[in-house]
Amino acid sequence: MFNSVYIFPLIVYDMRDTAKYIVMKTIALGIALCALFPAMMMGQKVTITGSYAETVAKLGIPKVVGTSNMECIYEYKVFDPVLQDTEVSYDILEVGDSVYKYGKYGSYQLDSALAYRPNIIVRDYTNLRNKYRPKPEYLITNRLTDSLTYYGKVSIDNFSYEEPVPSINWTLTDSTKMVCGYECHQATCTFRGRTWTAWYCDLPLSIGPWKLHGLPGMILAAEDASKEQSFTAITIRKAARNITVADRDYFKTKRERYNKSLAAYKEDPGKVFRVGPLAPKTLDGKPMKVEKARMFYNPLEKE
Amino acid sequence: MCLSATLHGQTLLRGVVVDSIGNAIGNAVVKGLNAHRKTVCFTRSDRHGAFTLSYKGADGIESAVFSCIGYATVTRNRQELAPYMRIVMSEEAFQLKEVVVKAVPINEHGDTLVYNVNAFKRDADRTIEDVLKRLPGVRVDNAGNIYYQGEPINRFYIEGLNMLSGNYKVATQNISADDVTSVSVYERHQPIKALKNVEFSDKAALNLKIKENRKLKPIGYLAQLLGHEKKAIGKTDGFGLRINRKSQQLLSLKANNIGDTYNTTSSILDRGISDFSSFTWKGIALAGQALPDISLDRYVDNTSGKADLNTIFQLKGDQTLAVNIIYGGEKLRYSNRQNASVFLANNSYKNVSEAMSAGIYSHNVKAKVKYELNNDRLFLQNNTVFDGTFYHKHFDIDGYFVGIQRQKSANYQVSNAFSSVLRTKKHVLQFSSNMYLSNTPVNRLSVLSADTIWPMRQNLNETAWQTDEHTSWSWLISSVALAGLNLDFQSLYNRVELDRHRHASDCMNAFQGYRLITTASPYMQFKWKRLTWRLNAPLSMLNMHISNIRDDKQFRQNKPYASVNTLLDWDLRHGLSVSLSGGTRHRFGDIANFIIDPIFINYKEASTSGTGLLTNRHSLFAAIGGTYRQVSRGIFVSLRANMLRARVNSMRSTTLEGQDFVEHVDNRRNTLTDQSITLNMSKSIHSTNTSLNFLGAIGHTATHILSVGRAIGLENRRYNMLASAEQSLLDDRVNLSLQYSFMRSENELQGHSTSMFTHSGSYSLSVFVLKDLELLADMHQNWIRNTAYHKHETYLNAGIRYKKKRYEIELMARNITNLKEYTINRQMQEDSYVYTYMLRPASYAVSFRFNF
Repeated sequence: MFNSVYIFPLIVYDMRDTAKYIVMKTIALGIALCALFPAMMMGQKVTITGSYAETVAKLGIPKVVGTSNMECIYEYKVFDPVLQDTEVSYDILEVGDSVYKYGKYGSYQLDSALAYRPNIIVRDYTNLRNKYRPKPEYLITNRLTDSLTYYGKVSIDNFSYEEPVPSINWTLTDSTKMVCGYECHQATCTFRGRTWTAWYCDLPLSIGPWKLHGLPGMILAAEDASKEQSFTAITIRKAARNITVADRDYFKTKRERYNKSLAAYKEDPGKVFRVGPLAPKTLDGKPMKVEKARMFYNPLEKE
Repeated sequence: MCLSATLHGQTLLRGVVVDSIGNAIGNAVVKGLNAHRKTVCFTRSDRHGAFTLSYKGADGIESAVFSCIGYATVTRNRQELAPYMRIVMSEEAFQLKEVVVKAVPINEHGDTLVYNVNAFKRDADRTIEDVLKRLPGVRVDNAGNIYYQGEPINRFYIEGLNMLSGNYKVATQNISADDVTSVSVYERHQPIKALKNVEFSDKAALNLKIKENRKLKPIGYLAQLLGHEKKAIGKTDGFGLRINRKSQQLLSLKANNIGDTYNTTSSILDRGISDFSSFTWKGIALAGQALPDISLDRYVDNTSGKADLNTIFQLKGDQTLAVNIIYGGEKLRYSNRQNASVFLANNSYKNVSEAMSAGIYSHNVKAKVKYELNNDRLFLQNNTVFDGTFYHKHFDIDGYFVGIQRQKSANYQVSNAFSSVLRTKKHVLQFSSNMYLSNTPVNRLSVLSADTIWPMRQNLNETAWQTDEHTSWSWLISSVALAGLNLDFQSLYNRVELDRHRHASDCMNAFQGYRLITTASPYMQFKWKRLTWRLNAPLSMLNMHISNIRDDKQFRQNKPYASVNTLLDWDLRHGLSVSLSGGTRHRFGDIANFIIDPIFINYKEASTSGTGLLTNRHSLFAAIGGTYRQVSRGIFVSLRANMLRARVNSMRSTTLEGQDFVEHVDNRRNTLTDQSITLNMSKSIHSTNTSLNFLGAIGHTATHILSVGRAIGLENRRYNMLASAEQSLLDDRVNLSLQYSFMRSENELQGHSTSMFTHSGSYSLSVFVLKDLELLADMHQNWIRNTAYHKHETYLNAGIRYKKKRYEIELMARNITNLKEYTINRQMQEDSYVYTYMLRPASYAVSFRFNF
């Protein structure tokens, strides 16, 4: 859904080496906002043609924060009660000795594909993005500092916030079930406005999907009481790869502020473009109408 | 030694976890277990390896377990626990049990099941219908109708929008399985959101979710087939679908002469066109033949074309506007032989044999515009439909009669249906108004023969007008109880004109009149947790006035009728529910009861539809049904039993008058009882790629017919079974499908029994010899037997398909055994029939397809 948005930094990066950087950036943004905004709203995939498509994509070098020795892929299912629709996506938890990364599997796949193609051209890079549909939302948990850093995006701006690893008060129960080939035990908790039922296995890792953690074993499945959100492990495997964070300029913010901005954006994504200097205009200078269209959204955190 | 420290009932353990050389181990999991080896408390060591484990239970902890990835687990029993412990963990290679779970086949979300298409798709599949047939709980019949747990679905959505308004086959039979990410089933789907929890629905809806990367652009295919089958054959198909966020468009253009028919079987049977009481259109079933359970392309020689244009726009708020325009034009030819054994009123059977060659020309245009506003508070819908149908049928008949029989019919219908629902906190108000106009200006039967007794020219024309007004008020008394009142008013006007010229039986008459039914139906509904109970008590007032123009007879009736019916639905536990329904109902007759002149439905058969008195079919009915599903195991079961006892004041008999078979209706009290049980079971074994389906039904019907002036009992027992299995082998390279069906029907009339059996089997095999090269074959076998007749047939098709990216080429050979005939058995009430259809000869074709 965000593909059109993500391509903008790519265009901008490529312009940095040229003398017309400032002018081109403005044009790129103008084109992006006026021409691609409807496509962005509609989730249309981006195609880049012309000579620019044949140039080598200049991608930022990711920063290595650790090495994973194990990975777990979760099926993440979320129901939007307003749109009455369910979305299913896949997330991956990369487990290092003291650093864990939880992010979108599409982004992980894109990073893997790019690792073997250092000089990828813009067209191929765009095709890969269209294929894997990465979402730059992930969180890094550092057990040495007991801190958690969330990286996300609202509209075209990158944000990050940091917080201490939250403490979750779990209640263990007697139920057991098999998840992804592991016998799991049930535990329940209330965390940031949702009541979760989690299933943890005997792997001695006090981690889990998203921010859920703190049980005496790795959490392989979790579902909130309203059944709007659920995580289910579908793959557990060994790994040996770098855990990275993207080399981008992030606006530092607070968790509450980020959640509020994201909710406002999802409710009316065109709002930010209706006013101000970025408001799209027609060729004769008249403001273009940007329709209100709520996006699929149901936050994990209600508080 | 007792526990390390016990302070006011609290167990407290402290310590540090280190490795064999004394380095701290962080993130080690420390668990306290009770006597039953259950974890009662836990903690984690910090970066310095330090931990604090506290437990407030009175029974204390029996042991402590220390574990960390890469180290051997350490256990300390009760005797070994100390106030401060230094736990040394030795390194040990970490053995991870690697697990990869294939896509979860079915997800459950309350009353919604989401089938993951990837988990059920095979390489050999061509359309999403092929996948639907494999989904446990879902059944698709040969005509493409979809059922869930044995019941037909009530809505079909694509991305949550109802674009096709019931004409969903154009989607399921064309959309590629590769373009669909999931199929959702909404159980007990109430399509009107404002009536949720007010009006109970036991039907399910289906929703196709299209892959994200296949949206916002046209998807579909273009295909061309060319071949030979005594003559040149061809088929041209174009299909396109575009899914936008706020609109959808579907365009389908098709033409062929290989046997694919578009106006469906209704063009042959002439039934089911009208949705309301248009006597003429329903009354004449000229061909009156049973169709074989094989696809029409095996015996129909056709030239067919169809254009389908459908679009829906999501307007502001929850509004949608849908437009559907469909045109189908067909020229069909087929031939068959018929051996009929007809029971006559003089207590004897008359055998009739004839051969027939039929030609049917039809055109159908349907246009529909539907506006809908559907939210939790308000529902508004206006549906305007124009439906124009034209048939011209031509039959060359040889045997009992030598000559030609022709029918020409045209029917035009215009309807408008308006519906509204307003829901407030405590009340629900409904109003709907439907109007239908049907005109049959041409409906002519002509018989030409050299023999002077047969020639005939019969015109039966009709104009019909119907309105339905519905008003309903519901009071939401509490979260448990609901009370309300439905008021319905139905008016029906018909004018039927009959004009027949025939040797010794000329007839000219006209019938016209109206029927008004006013119904007040108070109801109560209770919904308590998983139990729903509804009670209706409709009270109807019938006002009727029919006049017979020729005889100048008038019939008037003004009479009240009362009924009662109830429904109980109970979710016994997750996945298991039962429902009970029962009550009484009245089904009133209409103008057909007053058409006392026999009307010829073909050259030799005439039917008298009325006695001059109104029929009132008063029924007692009861039904019990249960559904069970266990999604994780892919098991779906439904069982339904229906019982009916109906009282009518008419009894039929057939007499031979000269050479004509004339059915009369006498005004005599008759009863009809019917019992049936249907079982549907399906099981999907995901680990072995196996799908199993079973459908079993038994039924018994008893009624009376007239014979030599007295009523005699007619009983029918029927047994049906359909079992199928699909198996995918060798990583989806080999797909095998088996289907077996069994039908047995027994009639008993005055101690004389007749019975018929049909067994049929279908087998299909698809083998991918290379990644993109598929060899396929399918075979159909049919065994039939009745008291004096038995036959066995085998029919075989084979082909080879090569698919590379977007392109497909396929070579096909159909009817390789060059089977010429196909025979079926049927029992229709007291009569028995054996039909033999002439099949299309062997054919060979090549087709090209481009998917976009």
